[in-house]
Parts: sequence; C-alpha cells; structure tokens
Amino acid sequence: MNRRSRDDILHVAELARLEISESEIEARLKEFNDIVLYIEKLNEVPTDGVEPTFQVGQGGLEGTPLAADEPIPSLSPEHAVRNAPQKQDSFFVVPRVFDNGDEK
Amino acid sequence: MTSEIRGKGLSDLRELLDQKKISSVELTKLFLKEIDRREEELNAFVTVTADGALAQAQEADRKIRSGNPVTAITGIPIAVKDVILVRDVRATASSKILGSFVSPYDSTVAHRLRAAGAVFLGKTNCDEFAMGSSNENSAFGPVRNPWNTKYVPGGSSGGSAAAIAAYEAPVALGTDTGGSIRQPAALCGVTGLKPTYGRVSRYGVVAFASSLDQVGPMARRVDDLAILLEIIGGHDERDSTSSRTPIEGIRNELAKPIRGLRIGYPKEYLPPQLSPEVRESFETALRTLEKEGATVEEISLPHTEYAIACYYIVATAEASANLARYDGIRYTRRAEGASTLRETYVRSRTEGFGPEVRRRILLGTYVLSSGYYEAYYLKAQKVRTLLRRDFDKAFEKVDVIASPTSPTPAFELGSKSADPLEMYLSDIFTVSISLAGLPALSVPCGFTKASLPLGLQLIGRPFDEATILRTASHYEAVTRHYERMPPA
Repeated sequence: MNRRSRDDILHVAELARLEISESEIEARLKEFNDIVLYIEKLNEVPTDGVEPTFQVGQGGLEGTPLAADEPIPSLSPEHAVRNAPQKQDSFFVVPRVFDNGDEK
Repeated sequence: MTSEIRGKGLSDLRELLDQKKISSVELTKLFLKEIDRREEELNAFVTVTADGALAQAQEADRKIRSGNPVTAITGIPIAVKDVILVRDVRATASSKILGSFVSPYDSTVAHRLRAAGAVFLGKTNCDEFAMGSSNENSAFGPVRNPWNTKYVPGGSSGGSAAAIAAYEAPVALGTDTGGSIRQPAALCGVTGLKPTYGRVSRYGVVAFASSLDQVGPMARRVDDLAILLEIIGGHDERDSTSSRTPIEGIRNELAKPIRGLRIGYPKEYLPPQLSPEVRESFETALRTLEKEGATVEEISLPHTEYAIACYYIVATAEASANLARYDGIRYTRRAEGASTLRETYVRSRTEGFGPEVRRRILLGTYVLSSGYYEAYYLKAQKVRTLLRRDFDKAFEKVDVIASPTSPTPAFELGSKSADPLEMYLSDIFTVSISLAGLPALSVPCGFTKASLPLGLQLIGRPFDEATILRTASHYEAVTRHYERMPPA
C-alpha cells in the first residue's frame, strides 16, 4: 500500500469541511494510514461477478416504496427554525453564500 | 429503590400497578430517586425528564384507576438513548455539536411508546453519534459499568445498558449499528435485541449508517424485549426502509419448547486466542441448550475475517454522508467569529465533533471520494454480499447461530483508547450480523472470576426474532443470571 501523505489527508479533510491542525496532523495521518492499511485486507477477497449489497431490507427487492402524493401536516415554519443559531421570522440567517462563500 | 421492586421486569411491575399495590407516580419517583442517587457515579443519563415523567405517570394513574384498558407498559418508566428523538426534550447524540437542540417532534418509536402509556425518565448517555464500543466517546463524559465503576459499560448504548443494570430504569431503548445494543448488554449483564433491519422505524433517530442502524429494546428479562418490540416495531410510512412483515404474536412464541431446535456455532468465532473464560462460559451455554433439547453443531462463516474491514468502510461512508447535515446553520451550535460560509462550516464541525467522530468522517469521506469509490466502498458492498451468503448457507442447516457476544468482558476505562483500530477489532462478533441485516440478541450467560458479566449472542433468520427470543427465554429460565445484580 502506498502510505497516504499529508496532502491526501488534508484534501479529504477539506471535502469533509473539517480542519486538522498542524499539531495534530502527524498523529492523524499515522492513524489514518494504519486504518487504511487494515481495510485494504478486502483486496484478498475475490469479488468478480458478485453484486454489491446496498440495501438489506425489502426496499431492495421491490424497489423503494413511494408515498401517496397527498399533503399531510408537518412542522410549521416557526417550529422548524426553533433551534437555529440565527434566525429571522421563519428564515435561517447564514453568512453570505455568493462569491464562492470564501470571500469576506 | 426498595428491595420489593428492585430488578423487576415489566410483567411484575404491570401486576403491581394493576393490583394498585403501587401507583405509577410512586413507581416513577422511586426510579427518579435512584437516578439521583447513582448518577454522579454512573453518568448514564444526559437529560433526566422528571417533570415530564411525573405528568405522564399521573396520566397513567388516571387510566389505571378508571379501569380503562392498559398496555403492557402503561405507567411504567423507560429510558431512551439520546440519539432517539423525544418531543420537547433536549437531544444531544452525546455530542457538543447539537448545542441545546430541543426536538420539535417525536421519533416513531417514542410516539408509539407514548401512545402506549410509557413514562419517559430521560435520555441516556452514549458514544457520540453512536460511534464507539465503550461509551468513552461521549461529550458528556464516560458512563461507568455498575459492576465495577472503573470499567466501561460497553457502547455505544452504554448509558441504557448501565441504567438497566443498576436499575435506574427497568427497560430502555438503544440503537445498534455494528453491535451497539448487544455488546453493552453483554458487558453490563442485561439483555438487548437488535431487530432485523427494517423491523423498527428509524424516523426520528439520529442517523449514523442508514443501511445498518436499528432501534432495539434493552431490559433485564427476555420477555420485556418481546413486549417492547411489539410496541415499537412494525411498518411506518415515514421510514421507506421499514418492513410490512407483521410483528404481532412474537411474544406468544416465547413459551414454545426448543426441543429439536438446531443451533450452530461458527468455528471462526472461537479462535485459539479467545479468552478462556469467554470460551468456557460460551461452551457451558451450548451444553445448557443441548440439555433443553436443542441440537448443537459447528458451522462455518468463511468470510468472518473480512467483516470488520467491510463494516468500517460501509458504516463510515454512510456516516460521512449522514453527518454532513451538521453544519452550523439550521439546528446546531454555530462557531463564533467565523467570517465566511466555509469557515462557519469548518469551525462549527471541527469544534463540535469529538475526535472519534472526526476520524470516522474522514475515513468515510476518503472511501467515497473520486478515484477510491470502486476500490473501497463498492468492494466492501460486494464483500457484504458474501458475508450475507455465508449466513444464508448456514441457515440451511441450523435455525439459530450462537456465539459469544464480545471477545472480552468489560475493560478498564482508558485502557483501549490509545489505538482506535484495537477498539474496532473488538466488534468482530457483532458487525457481520448488522451487515447482513439479521436479528440478534445478547442474553447474560455468566460472569468472569472478577464478577464481570458475559453475554451469549443468538442470531436468527431475517424476521425470525421469535425463535431467538424463544431460545433466550428458555436459556434465561434455566440459568437465571438475571437474579444477580451489581452492588447497590
């Protein structure tokens, strides 16, 4: 196995919107490599012609059941925003989304 | 807790309530008092809902007094793992990231228990987002094992297991994704059931791995598992993965004999390095079942050695998707002082999630990422098919598969936290079952010389909870391990 590098793990962290601090990165990288090495054990198993199992339930056999197209009561907008860290009326307040979300 | 009540199961409590020997309010107060007395030491609860519980108890007493029909659980307290939503009660998933989130709605399982008249004592501590096998990953501190408070209760449903073991609650709900009901039940000397995938609705349950998660009952007595399963289980329109297979009548099956039942034990689950005490208690359990008329034979589950790798790819991949919603925007704690949207996401998530959760999100993101998806996630789902086929083949020869629930009894707090991989390997007996979607339970089967509990795992065919519950019920009646309780 090729050990993953700092750049690899930092790329994954970026995808997951997590930060790994400079002081942690050696330890996190070592753990990450140990675990990835372990899961590569699966390469020993021949799986040609084997169908993947994404679903073990009955939904897999008959397809996903669809709900009737009828409106039913749900959470009111006011109720739905009750736990928002920042809200206005029944809207969530968020930092600017435009400009890629990276601009201040 | 009075000695007349301590340790009693649902049927006994029902009888006391119906015969007016105790009221629901009095009973609830006894449990609340016990929680108060033990909590500093055990830390099994994140939130205790005393006022709500007493109000529900009063309502139950009105029903009982007026002679209205009651269910098996009317007026009886229950504890609920803090990944299962209860309306108007704080839900934390044992994480900091949810801040002071109060659930605006009931999960289906809470709704059904509420309608049946259960009394909610509170929300139990667990590993954060149900990720862990020791309840040491909670943002609210570890839970301690009532049998020895220097030891872990197991995880991730450690709080529920410890609460029942210490009799802070007679029954509880847990969730099981890779063993999180069964293993803490074993380590705490109580019984717990992971139903067949799709048996119990996941609506209102904080998702960890959507193709694996199941809510299940935990209790002191096998009969209580059957009672609770019938109340919480069954089809739910709100969960498209929930099954229409009927759930009524399971409890009636428990009294039927097990003569002629074919039990298989997988040779891969008894490796030479297995702890001698675990092996001995397991072999003794098999002999007990033989004496009760079952036949016992060795079987093989040849792909067992790949189960952990498979699980930690599938579960973490699904977790990375499910936990993407915790972003500091709609219902989580938001990091202070972030000046852009991206910074809000990164800081809220990095500050809000604990180390094990972050570890699993990273792994899960990696195995799904472009260039790696086929090598890891797709490969793992194919191995999953092979694991499932192992079980299908085995069930052609036997009706129940038996194994130890955990390769070790409870271990000391802090003794395994240095190496995450070592912790993952301790899930070896439970993860295959989750990947295959089968029902499985743990029932107490003895104690180590150090008085730590051990559990027997019984695995059934899809939707055949009745057979494993029946087997466990007979086993429990003969061995009566439930009579032994930890120091009060």
